[in-house]
Amino acid sequence: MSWNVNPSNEELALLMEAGFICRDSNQFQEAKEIFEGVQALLPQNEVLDVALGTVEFHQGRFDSATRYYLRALEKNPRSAYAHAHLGEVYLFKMKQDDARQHLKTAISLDPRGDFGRLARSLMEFTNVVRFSHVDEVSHGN
Amino acid sequence: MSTQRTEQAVRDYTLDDILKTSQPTQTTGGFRRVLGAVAGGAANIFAPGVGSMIGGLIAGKGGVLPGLGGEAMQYLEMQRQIQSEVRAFETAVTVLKVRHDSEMSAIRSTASR
Repeated sequence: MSWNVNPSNEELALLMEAGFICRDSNQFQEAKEIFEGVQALLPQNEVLDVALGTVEFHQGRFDSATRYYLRALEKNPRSAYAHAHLGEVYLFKMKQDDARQHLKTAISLDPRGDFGRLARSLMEFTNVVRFSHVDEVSHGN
Repeated sequence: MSTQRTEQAVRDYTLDDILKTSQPTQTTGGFRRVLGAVAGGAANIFAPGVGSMIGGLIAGKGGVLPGLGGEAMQYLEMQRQIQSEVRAFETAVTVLKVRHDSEMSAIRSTASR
């Protein structure tokens, strides 16, 4: 038996918002399940990989987040969203050069959009705040 | 020996002389007064009380901080640190706001596919 699910745009938007709300309220497992569910509907959409990466990032799992962001870039190398978040996680991994490279790429890909603004604000943040090493959080898996 | 010198010095000063030396010798310029008021007001927002002292210091009013001595420099350094922390905080707030905007944009782009 196979399912043929065709969600509307509104339903997809609602699911995505629910995923981000779960993530921001520290319900990480629920957020992950929601994003994986949407990803099953849109397997070629790189935004879902970035969203799953942010769930990992919020838990301090920087290596896992990096893998999700890199997977997003494999699907869409011109994703400013993925470049901005990859730059962010590299900042926390103390890879300043890599971080700046991806943030600059995000700005060049989306100079006037929200993803470019995110990258610019992160660049500004690096100028103001001196990052110190943040240990990867171990969750036993 | 030194005690005698001190007594001699005290005898040489009249009451008027002492009053004169206790008054500020120079009047502060208008620009300095304005700058002091602005700096004091700004600092009062972040650290009530400290701003008044800093403003008075720049304006040359004396009071708690009679001049740019070691203690005054400590207050200036404290003000510099506070301003630095405020700037970092404001930048972090901007990052969080823009991050939210970018997520809303990602939702829209995903839903439209």
